[in-house]
Amino acid sequence: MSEITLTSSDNESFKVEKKIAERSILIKNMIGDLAGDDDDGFEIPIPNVRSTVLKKVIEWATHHKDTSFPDDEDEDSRKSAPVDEWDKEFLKVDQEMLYEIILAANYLNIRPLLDAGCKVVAEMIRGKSPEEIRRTFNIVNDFSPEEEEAIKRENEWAEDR
Amino acid sequence: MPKRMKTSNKITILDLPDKALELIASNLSQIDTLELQQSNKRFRTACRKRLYHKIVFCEDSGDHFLFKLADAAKYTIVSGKRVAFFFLQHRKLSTTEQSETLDYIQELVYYDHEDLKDDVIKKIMNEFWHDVMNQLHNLKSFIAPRLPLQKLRLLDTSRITKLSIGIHKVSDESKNLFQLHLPELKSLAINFFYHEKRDIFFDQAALSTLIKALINGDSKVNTKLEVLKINALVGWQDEHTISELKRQENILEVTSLFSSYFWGSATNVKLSYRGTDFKACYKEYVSELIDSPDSGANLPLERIIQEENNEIFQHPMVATSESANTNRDDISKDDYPELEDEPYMFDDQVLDYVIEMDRVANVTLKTAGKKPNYSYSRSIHEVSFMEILSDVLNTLFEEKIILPNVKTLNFSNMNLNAETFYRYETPAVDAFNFVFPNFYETIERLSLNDLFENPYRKFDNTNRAYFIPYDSEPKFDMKLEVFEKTHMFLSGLIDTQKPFNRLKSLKFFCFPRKSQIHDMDWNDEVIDYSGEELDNMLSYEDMLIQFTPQAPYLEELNIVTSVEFGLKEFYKVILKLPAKNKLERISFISPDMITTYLAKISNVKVFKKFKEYSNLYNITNYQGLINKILIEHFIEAFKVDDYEDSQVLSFKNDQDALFFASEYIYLFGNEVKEFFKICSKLEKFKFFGFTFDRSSLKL
Repeated sequence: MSEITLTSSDNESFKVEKKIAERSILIKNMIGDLAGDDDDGFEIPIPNVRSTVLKKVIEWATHHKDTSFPDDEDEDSRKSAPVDEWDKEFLKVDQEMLYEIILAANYLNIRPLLDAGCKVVAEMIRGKSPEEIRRTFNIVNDFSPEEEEAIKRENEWAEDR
Repeated sequence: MPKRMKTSNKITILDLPDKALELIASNLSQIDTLELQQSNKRFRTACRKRLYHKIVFCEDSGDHFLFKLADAAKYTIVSGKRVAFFFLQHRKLSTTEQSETLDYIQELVYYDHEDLKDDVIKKIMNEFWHDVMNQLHNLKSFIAPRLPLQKLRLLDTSRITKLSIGIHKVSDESKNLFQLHLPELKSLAINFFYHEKRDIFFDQAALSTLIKALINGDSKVNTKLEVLKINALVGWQDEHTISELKRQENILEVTSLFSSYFWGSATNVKLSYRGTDFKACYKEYVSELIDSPDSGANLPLERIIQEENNEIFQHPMVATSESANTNRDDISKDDYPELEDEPYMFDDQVLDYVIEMDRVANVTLKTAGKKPNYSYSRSIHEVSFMEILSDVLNTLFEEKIILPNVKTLNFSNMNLNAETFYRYETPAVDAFNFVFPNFYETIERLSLNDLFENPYRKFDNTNRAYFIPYDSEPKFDMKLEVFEKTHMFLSGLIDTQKPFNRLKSLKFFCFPRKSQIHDMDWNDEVIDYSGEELDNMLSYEDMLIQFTPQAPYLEELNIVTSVEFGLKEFYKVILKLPAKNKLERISFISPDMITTYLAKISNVKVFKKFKEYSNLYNITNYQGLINKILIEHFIEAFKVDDYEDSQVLSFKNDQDALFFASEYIYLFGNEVKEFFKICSKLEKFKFFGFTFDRSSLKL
């Protein structure tokens, strides 16, 4: 088997080289469990991912089909590795697309893509006050003034920097 | 609908799963995590997990290196009085939600010792230590090299995989009596810590307790332990470096401009500092400084440095791992003269003047009894009178413990005297072979970090001559076999014939260097060796050359060397190294040369300012600030002790290093480039604290 077919939630199908699809641990396991050796065109539905997002994920997996990433278990290496330049460019998308890529990476179990996406979001948070964070991500303040005070007190031990 | 919920169908950050939010928080600095936590309730758990996951306590809130490390490794640093506050706040947590927070703690780091300077912190910590530690049910890593083993007494150690702990006496002897279980332990660092208030710092009972904890059930073959580190004198050398370089900062402050030229332009200049006419020049210099402060006293030098820094970060001179597009040619030719053997030559008149000033500076320093040259401490070896290693090996051997899977072995800050290796019934080398039966097959990382061995004459197998010390009554029985072993590595501990087929990383920092080989005669006078006599003595330069061919698969080599063994000598070693095409990372530093290189870099940086300032006062002040930054940089570049997660910083240029990027490239780039040419896989070469990337050098 050299190719498999991935079908998005909006029923668009993508033929993908097996090696590329196996960047996703979920897909890799499914192929291992369900597909036969000569099962060319084996089809896997991806019900949680829209076609536009799936297309992006396949683009990422194609670019990284030969990349060797740190082990999933090696948390320190994963954390300290900077986002590579290509990934930075690749993830220059609107916020909604970025979150959808993160969600897809999480669902499909593509750890390096999940890491890169989360690092990009972390970068968006860096150096911002709570109010600026809310503005950046278009979210509301759901703390009461008392709760705000309480959380500050609770964190006093850590306010070293 | 709760307020935090989205207000449209658009996906927002709040829709990300907990796992993703935790990953985001784990990539934030401490302060950013606190800010995020206060922005919306959805982030509360993720941020709490990030804050509590790994905590570092330290008394000194000015520990530059530790804060840098905390930022890079993303852990939470708690310093100063906040340490006491943490213990107070967490001693008894009333609600389930609160007590959950301590369950998030998986890693604790504590570099201080028990005798904290601040009595309040000390009292609170002592009082509530066990209350808090008892609640840590998920602790996997406990790094406390200066705390005595007894601090683990009530801690649940069943999940601990990584432990670094001190073995030294505590006041209450009965505290030694407890059983320790470490069934999951993968990494163990045994530290001996000298405290001036205590005469004896080695506690055999504590060592035995710790060693016995390596026995799992009935099995004395511990297959879980992969990392073993033994540090005979934790912290001592770094403290020495800090105090020496800080002292140097004070000296340079007095004489910065002149002494900097002197120390930066030569390594072995021996001038006689006589004559009175220099004093006139010195007076002239000082009077100019005194007369002209008004014109430059308010110059905002810190701001200038800040602006330079900003400029460097906007237009980096060298590629970092994040930006890899620059090269040596980016340095403006106008900034520097053509590179020659000595970079900065003025016309004869100016040069004469500078030399004269330097001589004056040195007269002043000599008179004051100060030496501006940083020297690596010898006193460490006087303190560490026991070599410790054979004590640990003997204790392991007596318990018949076998460690077949140790892949990382570190020996730090210790004496290795061949004769003391024979003071137990079983010689240390035999105990070593028993405890590590697969040593040559399994070892992947070996760190020989600040090891000192007495100088021995190279053993001559033909006439069986060996070096007899002047001391006619040695403490230990001087057997011939002891000296037969001295031609082997580390007093015979390591066989110089067997190859290490898995060794990927080697740190080599050993004594004596050739310049340190000496002995004492009957009257305690130092006898130096020279010429053929010196050539017959075994130095660690010889050992490096002999040892490295045993490791054909080295990927990382960290060398701490001497003034006699410079970059050119090292290049010759690398040229013949079987692993040269496998090497990916090299680090090179010589503590003996720190003063010289500090001054060289400082000179280059200051040279540019000659164009901007005609006022000597401004230039002197500017150099003072540059030297301060450089001294901090070198203190960090020459850290000897093993800091948790320091590999995160090890081959990375931080802000301080990048501040001197163009100077490093200008001064040393050409020489370093040659290493990249002969080592095809070499990606990073860290030279005196600055990392050259392959991509940043035009090859």
